[in-house]
Amino acid sequence: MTHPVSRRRFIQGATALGTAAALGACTSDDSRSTPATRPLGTDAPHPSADGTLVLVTLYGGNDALNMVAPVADPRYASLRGALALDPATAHDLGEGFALHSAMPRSKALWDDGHLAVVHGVGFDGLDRSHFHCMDVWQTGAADAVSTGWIGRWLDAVGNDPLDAIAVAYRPPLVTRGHRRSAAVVPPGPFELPGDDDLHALLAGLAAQDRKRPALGALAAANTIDLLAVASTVGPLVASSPAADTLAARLETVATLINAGLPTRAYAVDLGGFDTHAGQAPTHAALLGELDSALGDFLERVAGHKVTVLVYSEFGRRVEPNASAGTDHGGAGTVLLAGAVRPGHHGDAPPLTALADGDLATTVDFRSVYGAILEGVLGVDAKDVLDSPPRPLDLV
Amino acid sequence: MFLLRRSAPKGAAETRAAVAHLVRRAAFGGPAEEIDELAALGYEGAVDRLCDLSGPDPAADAVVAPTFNTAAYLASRDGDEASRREADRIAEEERKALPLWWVRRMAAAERPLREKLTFLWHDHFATSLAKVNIAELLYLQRRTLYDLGPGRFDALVHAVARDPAMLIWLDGRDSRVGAPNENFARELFELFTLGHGDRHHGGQPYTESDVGEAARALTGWTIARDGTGVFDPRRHDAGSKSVLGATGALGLDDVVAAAVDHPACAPHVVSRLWSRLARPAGPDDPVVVELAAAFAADLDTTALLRRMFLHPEFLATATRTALVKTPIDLVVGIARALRITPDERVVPLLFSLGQLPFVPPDVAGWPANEAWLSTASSLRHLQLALAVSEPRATKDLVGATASARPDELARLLGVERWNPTTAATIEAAPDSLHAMVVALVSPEHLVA
Repeated sequence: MTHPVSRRRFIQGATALGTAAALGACTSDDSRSTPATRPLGTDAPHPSADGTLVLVTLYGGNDALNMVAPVADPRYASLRGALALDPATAHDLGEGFALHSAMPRSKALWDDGHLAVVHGVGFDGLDRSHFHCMDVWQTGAADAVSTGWIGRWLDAVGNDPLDAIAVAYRPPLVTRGHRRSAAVVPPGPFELPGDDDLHALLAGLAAQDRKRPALGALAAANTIDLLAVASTVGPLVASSPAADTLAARLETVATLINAGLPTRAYAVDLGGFDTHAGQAPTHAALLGELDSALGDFLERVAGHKVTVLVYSEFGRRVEPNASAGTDHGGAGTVLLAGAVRPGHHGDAPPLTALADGDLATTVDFRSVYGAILEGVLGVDAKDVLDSPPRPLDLV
Repeated sequence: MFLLRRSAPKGAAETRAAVAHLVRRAAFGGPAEEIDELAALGYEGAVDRLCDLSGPDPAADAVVAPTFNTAAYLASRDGDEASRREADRIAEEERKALPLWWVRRMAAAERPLREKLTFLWHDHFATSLAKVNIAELLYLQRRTLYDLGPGRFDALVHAVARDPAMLIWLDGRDSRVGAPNENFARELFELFTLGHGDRHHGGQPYTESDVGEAARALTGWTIARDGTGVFDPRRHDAGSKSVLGATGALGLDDVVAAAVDHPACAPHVVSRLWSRLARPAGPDDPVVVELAAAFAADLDTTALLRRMFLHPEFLATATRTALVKTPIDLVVGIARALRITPDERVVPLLFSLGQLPFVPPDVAGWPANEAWLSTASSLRHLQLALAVSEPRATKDLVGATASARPDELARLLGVERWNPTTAATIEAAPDSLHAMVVALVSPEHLVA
């Protein structure tokens, strides 16, 4: 990819000197649990994969059955009761499924062949805990590890602070690696404060120094990376919306993609999906927000090979509780939009064979990640995931 | 390496460094003179002073509490458009006033550990205005955490379980016999008392059946018209349940009692507090196991804090660089060290740093360590450093020559020692303002 935005030389020099070596000091705690990586480029299995990934994390446990519902199955309406989607207003996706009525843009993507629905996605050990399940999703590993799957991709291929970007206030676990982590771009416009004297001092302050403890080295590395990120990204987002919404964050991502940044992976998120009470209006509003943000974003990046992956930590209980909401459940539905193989993927978990009231897992989530790693990011799934299952044919 | 128990630091310099570390972790840091004063008591004396949580705090109480317009808010939020705008205006105003008031209390406190502990409990029982909406209920919940926080942990959990803000936050008020809402029951076990556990190491301390049965036992608690938590027997499931080994017609207090008496509770709670005050450690960590054994016997939080601060591992070299300052630690620490009264600007600043009190990201509270180090946080640290340095730098550092600035700034900011690279950079600064900004954003100031 081209890299049209130039940076000041001292920053480039400082970056090359600073981050990789400084972060080397932080790698001691659990290297045992990271799959071995090998040098890339020699026998990269997917040299033609040159897409850009946009991860959309839905926090709280998105009710998959209220997003893509098996409306043709009579058990659906009887189990869901008042929460069941009305097939008359939901958008037909064929094969007995319908999309929530608040998602017309996604229906248009479906009709245009830009939407894939993966049913029954989960893992062994999906246990209704937000925090455990989200850790598994973000690390891509069943056991507790301290790096995310995008972070390990960065460890394997990263050499530029802009290889991956999270638009967020805090860095998500998914983009944290041992050697490198994604740059975090704050929502809204920003510029580097201070004068040239100060910036030169910061470059000196953050220079490689082996005497620093691990966290100190990480702090220094981020200062160096900030100098690079601010000079490149700052001017591009100067007129981005001040309001912090998913739509605004995705608008920032679109701006950066259209500016030709070398970034291959972006991460954004939307919270509020823990709909234990009064679910119907809340969830409809959230799906509507997701839908319009996604629709606008894909229009903005038309012409670029962009794949959006939308996931949540778990689905929700099939039967509602007495507060017109749903409690934590099992397998979820993953959406992929943009450059994808459209249509239904995986096997929808049957409503006749619930696991303790939840949808059973039929698709290992890592077979979705494998598809992204190989089909979008162009690396072997084994470079990032520990004994990964066969990737699905999604991209 | 084994240290002698209760081995007090030797020598004045070592004692001052140990006390400065204690003050950073237990009291948000403080002005150099305050550290000197505490160091004069010796390390154990300083621990005793900081852990004296009884009695009032006139300096903190002098910070005027916000007034709340809850009745007007509730009356207007379901009305017509003009009336909803009025409700939004009230909510917006209170939403800013509440965290500003608390941050000012933290900065002013004469018993700073009490404010820090209250914040740690807020982080532990994390409840957000984003769903509760009524600021006064969060104000009252903080009061409960402040009043009961230093005492017995079981009393604290009993109070939190019927706290109105919590009843809204985790949907307890909507739960009733028939198909109970599991939200509070699950987080009570997973986050507040027992921990998630690890299926590969000893398994989970509770089962899905415990969650479901506890949810039944917790039904009936709702919010009365006057805004207090109240039990409505008509909504309660009076049948027999079995929760964590206890069986019978259990209710809220039985569930809380079963949880706090469970052997997993003390290690979970100690792990959380030790990880925030000393260094990250899971419930199986030997220090946590040791401290938890004592805590399980009395559930006395102040006694636990004393044991933590007097534990040799608290003063170990690795412990002293094991935590990244959270935005609250950083902002309150700078305010205390430089004797600045935080103004309205602190609210958007803490929001952009990702840690505005009363708006935790979720019920698990705020993340720690690496989560506070990113390019975005570096940007905000720089903005914070520039904002506080402008008026202070010339005043405090006037006369300091370039070569004297590193020592002067280390003392001012309570930093144990600069790394040589940092010291050289501070010395290279063209003036005291640049020197101060560099010191504030240095790794030694951020990680301590």
